Amino acid sequence: MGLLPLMYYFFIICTIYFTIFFSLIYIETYDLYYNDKPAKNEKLISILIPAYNEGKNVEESIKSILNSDYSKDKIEIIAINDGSTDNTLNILKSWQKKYPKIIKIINQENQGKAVALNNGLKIAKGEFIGVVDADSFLDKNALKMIMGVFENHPDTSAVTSNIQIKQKDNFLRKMQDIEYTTILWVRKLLQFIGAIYVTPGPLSVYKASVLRKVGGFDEKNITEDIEIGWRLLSQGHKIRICLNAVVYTNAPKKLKEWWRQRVRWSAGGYQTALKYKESLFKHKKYGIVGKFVFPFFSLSFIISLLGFSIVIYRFITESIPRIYYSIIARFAKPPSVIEYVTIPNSFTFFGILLLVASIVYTTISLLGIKNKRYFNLNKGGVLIILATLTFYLSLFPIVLIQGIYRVNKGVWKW
Amino acid sequence: MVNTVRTAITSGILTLIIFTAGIFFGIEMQKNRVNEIVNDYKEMQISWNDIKLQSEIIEKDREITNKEICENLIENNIRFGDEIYEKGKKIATYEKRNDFATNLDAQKREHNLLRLQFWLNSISIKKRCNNTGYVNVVYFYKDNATTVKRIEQDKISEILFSIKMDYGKEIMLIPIAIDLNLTSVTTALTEYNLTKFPCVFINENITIEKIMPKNEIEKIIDEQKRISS
Repeated sequence: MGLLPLMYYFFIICTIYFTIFFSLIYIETYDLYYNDKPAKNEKLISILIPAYNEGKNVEESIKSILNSDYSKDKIEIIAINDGSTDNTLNILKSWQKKYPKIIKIINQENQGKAVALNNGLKIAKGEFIGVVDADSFLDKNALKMIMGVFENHPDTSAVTSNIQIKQKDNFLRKMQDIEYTTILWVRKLLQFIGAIYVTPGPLSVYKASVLRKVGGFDEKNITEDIEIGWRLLSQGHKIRICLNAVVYTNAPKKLKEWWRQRVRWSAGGYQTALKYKESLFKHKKYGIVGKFVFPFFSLSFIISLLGFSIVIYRFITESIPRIYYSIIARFAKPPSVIEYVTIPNSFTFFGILLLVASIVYTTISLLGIKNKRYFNLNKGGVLIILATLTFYLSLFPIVLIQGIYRVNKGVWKW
Repeated sequence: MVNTVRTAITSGILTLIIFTAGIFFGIEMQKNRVNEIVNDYKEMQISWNDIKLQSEIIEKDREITNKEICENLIENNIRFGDEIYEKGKKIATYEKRNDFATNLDAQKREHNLLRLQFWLNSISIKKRCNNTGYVNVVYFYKDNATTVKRIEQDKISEILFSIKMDYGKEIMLIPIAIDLNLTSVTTALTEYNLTKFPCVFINENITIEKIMPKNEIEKIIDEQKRISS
C-alpha cells in the first residue's frame, strides 16, 4: 500500500473518531443547550470595548450595552481608543458626556487589542470583566444571562456567548453563518468536557480576580482571545458558553476582508499552539490543554494541511499531465466519477459515510443552535449548506498556510 | 460534565469497529471482482476456442472464397474483439479500484494472451478472406508505467476508444501489454520491430509512437481502409 492511501486512512480514522466523539457527547447533553438562567443578584461588571477606527459601529455597540436589562448602576463601560484615525474618539467622548458615571475613556497610541484590554483591566472596578468588540451588539438580556452562569456555576472563570452574524445579506455571510453555528455547537460540546479553548471578542466575561491572577491578555499574541482561553484552561480554570446570551457581530462582507480576518485567526491559533507545545508532554502542568486541546487543535491543523497537500500533489502529478496530453492530443474527456460508486471499495464506504456524517453533523448543529433558516429549499438553503461544506471549507488550508507563513516570517500587523 | 475518558475510549472502540467494517467491505468487494474476472476469463476462453475451431474447421491457410463463411468468421471475430476489449477495460478499472494489494497479474497475463491470439487470428482472417473491411489497430502499452506515462497511455487509450466508438466494426481495437513477461508478446514485438512504447500499430505496417490528435489517427485509419478495400 502506498503512502497516499495511508494518508487517506489516517484522515478517515481521525474524522470518524471525532465525529463519534462529539456525537456521543451530544447524545448525553442535547437537552442542556439552552437551560441557562438569568442572574438574580447583579454584580458590577466592567465592560471593555477596544476600538480601532470603529466610528461606524462603536455607538451602536455602546447603545446595546446601555439598553441591556442589566442594571445600569452595575455596569461600567471602559472604551479604549487604540489610536484611531477616524472619529471614534469624538463619538466616545460624546457618549461619555451623556453617561459620565458609566463610561470611561482611555485614549492610547495604536498598540493593538491586547494592550488596549490590559489598559482597561488596570482601571476596571468590576468584580467581572466583560470584553465586547466595538463592532458587536448585545441582545437585551445577554449580560443577565451570561452573569447567571457565574451565579449558578460558581466554579466558572469565564463565560463566552452565542455569537450571531448581524447581517446575513450575501452568500459569503450566509456561509459564515453556517460556520458560526457549527462552531457554537462544537463549543457547547467542548464545555461538557471542560475544553472550550477560546473566549471570543464579540462577548466574553471573565472573573476579574482570575483574569488579573493569570496576568491579563498576552500582548504578543495576534489572537489574545484564543491565548487567554488556553491560559485559563492550562491553569485549571473553567470556561463555559451561554447560548442564551446572544451577541450580533459584523462579519466580513467581501472575500478579501474575510481572508484577512481568517489569516489572522489562523496565525493566532498557530502562535498559541506553538506557545503551548510542551503541554503535549506535560499533562500535569497543563491539564486539559495537554490532554485534549493541543492534540485536537494540532490534529485539525495537520488534517487540514494533509488534505491540502494531497490535492496539490495529485494536481501536479495527475491533473497537469492530463491537461498537457489533452492539449497535445486536442482531445479531452471528463474523468469518470460514476465508477467510484458502481465499483465500490473501502474508500467508497468511507466516502459515503463521511459525506453522510458531515451532512448530519451540520444539520444537527443548525438544529441544536436553532438556526433553521437553511432548511428552506426555496431560498437555496441547502445550496448554501453544500457550498459551505465544499467550497468554503476548502479555503481554510490555504488561509492556514498563509497564517503559519506570516507567523514564521514575523510579518504581522494587527 | 461528561466522562471524557469513557467517551474517548467508546469513540475509539466504535471507530475501530466502523473502520474494520469498511476494510472488510473493501476486501469483500475486491474478492468478488477477482472472482468475476476469473469467471469472465473462463467464458472468454470458451468463446475463443469456439472461434479458433471455426477457423480450423475450414482448412488452415487456405484462402476462403465462400463469402458467407468469411462474413461469418469476421462477424464472430469482431464480436469477440469487442468482448475482449470490454473485459480488458474492466480488468484495468477493477485494478484501479482495488485498494489492497491483490495480484491480478495472472488474470492480466491470461487476457493478454487471448488478445494476442485474437490479433493473430484477425491477421489470418484478413489474409484468407482477402477483403475483410476492417483495420487492425493494436495498442501496445506498459502495464507498469510511471504516473506520467500512465496518464499519456490513458489519453491514447481514450482517443482509440473514441475512434472505436465512431468506426464500430470497421476497426479491431486490440490493446496488448508488453511487460507481463510473456515470450509470445516479446516475439511479436521483435517480429514487427516495435521498440518504443506506448505505440499504436495499424494494419501491421504503420507505427504511431507518440500521442497524436484523434483526427490524424483517423486519417491514417481511413487511408488503410481505402487500401484494403
